Amino acid sequence: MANALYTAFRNGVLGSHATRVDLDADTIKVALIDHGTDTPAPTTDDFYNDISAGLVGSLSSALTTKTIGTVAAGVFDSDNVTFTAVSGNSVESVNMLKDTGNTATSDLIAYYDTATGLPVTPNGGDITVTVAAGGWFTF
Amino acid sequence: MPGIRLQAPPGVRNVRYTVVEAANPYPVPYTCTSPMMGGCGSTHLFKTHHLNIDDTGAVIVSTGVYDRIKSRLELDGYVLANEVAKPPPIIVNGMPDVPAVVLFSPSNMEGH
Repeated sequence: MANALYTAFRNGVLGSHATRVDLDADTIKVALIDHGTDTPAPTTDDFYNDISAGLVGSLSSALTTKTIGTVAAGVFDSDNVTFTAVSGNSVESVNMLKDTGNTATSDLIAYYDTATGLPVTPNGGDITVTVAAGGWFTF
Repeated sequence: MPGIRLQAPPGVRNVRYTVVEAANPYPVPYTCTSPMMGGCGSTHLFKTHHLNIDDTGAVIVSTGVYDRIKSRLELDGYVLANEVAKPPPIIVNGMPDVPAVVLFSPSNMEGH
């Protein structure tokens, strides 16, 4: 596969999805996913409950210092994300989502399986996902 | 959560050691990232773990990984050295190359 925005998120931006994502106001988090348990499907999965079985460790804290259009036009950016003391299985992808507190209504946003350091075999220590200089993604 | 430091057999140094869980197929075959990024570039049909053995023959894994591959490690001569209270951090670098989404482009507008 390749890094991608979830299709449902893209459609949601245009108004065709049941819920909307406000990257400014909503709680945006990141999940480390074990594909051996649940392989994300960016073209068909829409909510976090579609991939949550593969979660390794816990969801990240909410993204901080989010910006839209600051790095460049249409770019979503934030601080790096650190997962503390990850003790679980090997991880094949990093996934961004809107956390509503209910996995069935938490929109999946972006899927990343291609980055330096992936796949990652946890060692029990922290795993930090650094955001590229160009931000998370561009519309 | 401590990590588990494993010691490779003599002579195994500075290599990537791959463990495949033959009983656990991926729901969808997984294409590993390129070696430059940290993967092996192969397509895996079964759950796969890549362990980077350092120049002393050691590698630290999480308890979750260790529990899953312990039997294979023992068969291959790896021994548990000790628990590591604070394993070194791991960095996943950059989340690049999500293609920009083009909402409108001049070519789309032609003919309208």
